[in-house]
Amino acid sequence: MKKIAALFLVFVLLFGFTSCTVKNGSELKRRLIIQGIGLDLAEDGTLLLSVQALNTDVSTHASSNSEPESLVKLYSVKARTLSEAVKQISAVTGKNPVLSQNRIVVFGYELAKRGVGKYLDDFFRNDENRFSVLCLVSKTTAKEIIYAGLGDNVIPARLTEKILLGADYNYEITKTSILKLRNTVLSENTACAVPVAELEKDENFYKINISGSAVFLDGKLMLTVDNKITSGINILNSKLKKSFFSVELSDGTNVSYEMLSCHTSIKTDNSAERPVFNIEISGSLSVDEIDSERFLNTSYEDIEFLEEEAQEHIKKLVNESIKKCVIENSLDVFGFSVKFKNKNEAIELIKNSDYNISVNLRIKRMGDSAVSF
Amino acid sequence: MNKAEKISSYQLFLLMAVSRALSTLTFIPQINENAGLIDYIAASVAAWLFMPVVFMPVILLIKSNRTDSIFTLFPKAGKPLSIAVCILLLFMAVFTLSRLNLFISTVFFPEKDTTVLMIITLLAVCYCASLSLEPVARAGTLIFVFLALSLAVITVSLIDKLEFNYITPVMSGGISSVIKLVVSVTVRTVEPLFLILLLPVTNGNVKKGFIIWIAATGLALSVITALLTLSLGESALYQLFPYHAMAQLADLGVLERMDALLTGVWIISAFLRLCLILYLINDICQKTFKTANKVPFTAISGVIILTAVLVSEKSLSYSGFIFSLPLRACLFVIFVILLPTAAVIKIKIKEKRVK
Repeated sequence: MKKIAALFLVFVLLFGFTSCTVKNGSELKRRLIIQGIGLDLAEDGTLLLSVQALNTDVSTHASSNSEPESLVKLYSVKARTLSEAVKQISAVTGKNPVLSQNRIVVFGYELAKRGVGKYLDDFFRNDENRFSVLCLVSKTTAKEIIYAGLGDNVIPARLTEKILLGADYNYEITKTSILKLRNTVLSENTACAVPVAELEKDENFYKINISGSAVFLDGKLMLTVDNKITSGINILNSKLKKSFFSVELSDGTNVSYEMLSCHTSIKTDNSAERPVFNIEISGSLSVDEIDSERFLNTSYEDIEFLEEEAQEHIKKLVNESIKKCVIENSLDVFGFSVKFKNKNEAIELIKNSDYNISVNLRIKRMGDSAVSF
Repeated sequence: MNKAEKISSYQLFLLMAVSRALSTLTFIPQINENAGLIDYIAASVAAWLFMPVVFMPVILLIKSNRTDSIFTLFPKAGKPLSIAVCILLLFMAVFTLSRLNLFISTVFFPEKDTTVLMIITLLAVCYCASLSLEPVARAGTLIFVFLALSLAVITVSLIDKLEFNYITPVMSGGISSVIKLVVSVTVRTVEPLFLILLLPVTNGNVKKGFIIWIAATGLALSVITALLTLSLGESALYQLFPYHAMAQLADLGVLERMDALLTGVWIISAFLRLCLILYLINDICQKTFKTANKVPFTAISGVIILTAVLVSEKSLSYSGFIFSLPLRACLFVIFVILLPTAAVIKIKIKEKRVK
């Protein structure tokens, strides 16, 4: 009896393999594999969605030896919500959109100023959409970035994503996901920095240039800052794996450093009248280049001097970023306000706090150049 | 159940570990507006430390070294009590299958009907539950290994993505919000009920195993909760299945969307728990009604469970009743605390009379 039951069960379970049907448009040429999406404010106040998708029509012509006109196809639609716009794309193209391969989300400048919070829900409610996707703000419109051709045989969205991933190695670029942006909408006082991109014409194609960051609070763009302030934000948020920077000495010598490691610890001291944030930045450096013969044979004093110059440079970046974001614009990009129980007074408290910044960066390597030991 | 058939204590506790992990990984957050993110971690740790106190009646019951079923302690109330426990087990099965259905229909098939899938799942569960306890226990050991490995991979891949800026001051919303969270973590731990029911058929040092289970489970849950809050931040509290969302963040090199890895393990864990519950229902009913395996209680339970799930899935508000935390808290207090307490008192009374 149990054998019969087992056989019957196996027969029934075979029906579980019926998920791979043609009916739901799962063939590649019936799917629109979206690589990048751009969100702008249309003239009538609705959402303008621009989409960059892989040109899967190429595969149907493989046997005819034809060259594809482009690796990507571009579409734009208007709608009230993001999910409505995505469904309209399928009506326009006749294909089933796939959002799970999306690489970047671009917000237009005007939309960012108006507020992007209400357009983030689809990234979390729709399981196919990824909230770990990186986002950026266009200095003009998102459509311009999405539609820009960045080169032959290049999928622009993937190239843009790679540029943003370079934030791991370049402290002038910040890397922000939709998740982080949404958390600033959900929490009361926390802001976040999103990279700002603009296009530069480069012969036949365009080039993406990250020209700074946009600071968002509650889903709205409140402030744009340059690369120097962005550097200070990244250092304070301990977001660096490696980076590089150059310092000009008082005598005009340029020294290029590579930051091999960097760690920031922030301790809050509430015992005094004003809260004190003790910020310690520690790490190690490598000197890549010095354009002066003065340091050809480096002594201990020279090494100490170069360390001090690097430390001063980093301290200045961090100081300026705190001043610009927190003190002048009440934007807590660093998570200082999270340390206080009273959320209503937290921003005022951090604006009136003292910040003690100590930088301890040690030169670990001078490259293959003589050092007087 | 064959009287000679027994399982080892480590098999029992691995079954319980898989079941408890499933509860955590498929939990739906109750919005506790005053609690900060650190309070969730603090609550997990506090619940862990509080568990030996809460489960003291179970520990005392284990110490009594009983080889008979707990229902034999209550000659007059034994039958109604066993029926009540069966109803509770049916409720737990409905809860598990409803949660599984909600998960599958949200993540995999948002536009399709999952009725056929539920029927197939329940057929497979009924078949497996009709086998003896040992295959279920052995499957539990294997599933535990897969579950532990997949959680370890997710943990390693999330280390880079932790944001310590999410750490808020502890009890920023007051102690009552933390207490609520501690209670909600504790009442989800219904696994000691399985221990009570399977005690007569378990070999080995059960008391030691239970203490190790409490310690290891509590530690694992605290670590997973910390990972969840530090990786997702506030968004963790607004996702239907936050641990699934956390797994979406995990990636290792070119391997993205590690949630696919975890999803299969979770579904198999739900299957295992359903098998165990239906097995227990069948066993209790066979003994209570003395039917000597002539009545297919497993099939009857399967039909009841399927009907309840298919009715409740018609509307999210019906499911809300099944998932309601106050209801589960009441059942936890009655069956996981009061029942073993009454059993321990009864044993002490009997021992005094014998002396």
